[in-house]
Amino acid sequence: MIAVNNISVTYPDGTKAIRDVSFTINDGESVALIGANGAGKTTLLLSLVGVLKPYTGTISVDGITLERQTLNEVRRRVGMVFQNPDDQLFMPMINDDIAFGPRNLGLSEDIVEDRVNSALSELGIGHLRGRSSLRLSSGEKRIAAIATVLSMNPTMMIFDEPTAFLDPKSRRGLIKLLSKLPHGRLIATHDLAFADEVCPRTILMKNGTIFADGKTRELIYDARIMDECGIADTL
Amino acid sequence: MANIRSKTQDIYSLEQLSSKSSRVHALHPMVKLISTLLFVVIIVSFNRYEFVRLIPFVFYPVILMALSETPWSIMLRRAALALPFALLAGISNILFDTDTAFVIGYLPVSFGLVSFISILFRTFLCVAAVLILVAVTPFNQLTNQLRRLHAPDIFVTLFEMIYRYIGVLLDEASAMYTAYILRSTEHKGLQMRHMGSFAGQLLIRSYDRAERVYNAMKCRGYNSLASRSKVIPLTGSDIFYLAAVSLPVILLRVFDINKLFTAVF
Repeated sequence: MIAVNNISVTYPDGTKAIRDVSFTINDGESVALIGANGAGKTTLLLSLVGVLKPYTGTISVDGITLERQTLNEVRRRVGMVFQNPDDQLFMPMINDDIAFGPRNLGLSEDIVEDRVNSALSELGIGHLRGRSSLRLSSGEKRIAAIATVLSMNPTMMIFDEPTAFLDPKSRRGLIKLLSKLPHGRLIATHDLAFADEVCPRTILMKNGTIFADGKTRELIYDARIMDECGIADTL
Repeated sequence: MANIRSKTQDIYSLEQLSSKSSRVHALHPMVKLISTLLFVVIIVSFNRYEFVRLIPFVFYPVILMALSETPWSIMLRRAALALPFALLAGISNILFDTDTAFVIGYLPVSFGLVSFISILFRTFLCVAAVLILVAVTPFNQLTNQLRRLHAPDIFVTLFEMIYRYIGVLLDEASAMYTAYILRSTEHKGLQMRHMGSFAGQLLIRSYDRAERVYNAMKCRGYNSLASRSKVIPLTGSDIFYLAAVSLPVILLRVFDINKLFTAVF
């Protein structure tokens, strides 16, 4: 479970990226984070894994408050899949990328290998073992990036624009895949149809604050709310 | 520059070989690292005129490449990349060290030529040894062992980062160059007047991208000061390998095998 209480993030130039944001995501819950460009979605996600500091307020994951001493434990529990898979795949081979997190946890090579194998098989990408990320399609890179996080056995996963760069078929495959995963999920996206299919709950952000928090179907089909939030289109 | 992406792939192709499963691959990484360091130190310790004594050391790369099933073509291509540097370093010897060392038939051979060939050969042997090490040992295991040998952490971290970011830099350069040439149909390649802004943009973009990559690394528990994996115990075959490589190398350094042969036959 992630509990965010009154989080505010200010950039060094004085820009208030997030102001007084509070919400809770329960285990197994799938939540969409929707907002216009610059609404603070990515900033919020990066704050949840302690990449952006300093902030005011508290973030706790499974009862562990995020602070310097607990940073590694929180990052083990919350896996973040970045918007651009190229940022996440930096090792020569996919299996090395998937092993990167477990190795940093100090696990023995046998366990690391088990983690790599189970992540590859869970996502159905065993054929990518030994391949270089430079030769993969965007869809394959996206799934491989998810595998790099899955191998750390997180309880919660956060995604930044997971459908970016994907063709319709890969997007469909991703929807199926995410629907199967048992983890709690927070997914920042502009793809309203995707949010509708994958996330029963949606948090709408506007200018660094939470504009609305409720059932996805009730929010994204409401033209007035979506318009006020700066997202002109509804489904 | 048009095929930067394939060049990037090329850079990491040696490391991709490290996932093979030969007997050499299965050895303890520390043993492979120490034997390579020993080999390099011993090769470098020879006098610059002792070319003939270096010849028996060819056994090291030849046997290891055969055992590890490392392709000759990849290895020779990589080793050839270092030769221009050795050529530059050694060419002055031919010009300035002109005393005759010996005569072959009627052809005098200068000390400069001997030392020039010796530098080229030593470079080849050292580079081949290091390349074989990279081809049979995953990169993370190598840096782990360097830390265990108490190499300065800042040095090891820099080594890791530079190695990883070469790909990031080339990837950015490739994307920028493609965008450039698509809008520069009148000219071939990058024009001189755009070099400055291209390089500046590349630096800024690479820095930005490196930040994002580093964030992704941190999110997966990266901490340069933490121990990356548990200590793997040495086995009998590791110790046998170390002895089998070190002893001949040390003996070849201590005894002049060519003189021994001449004395015996």
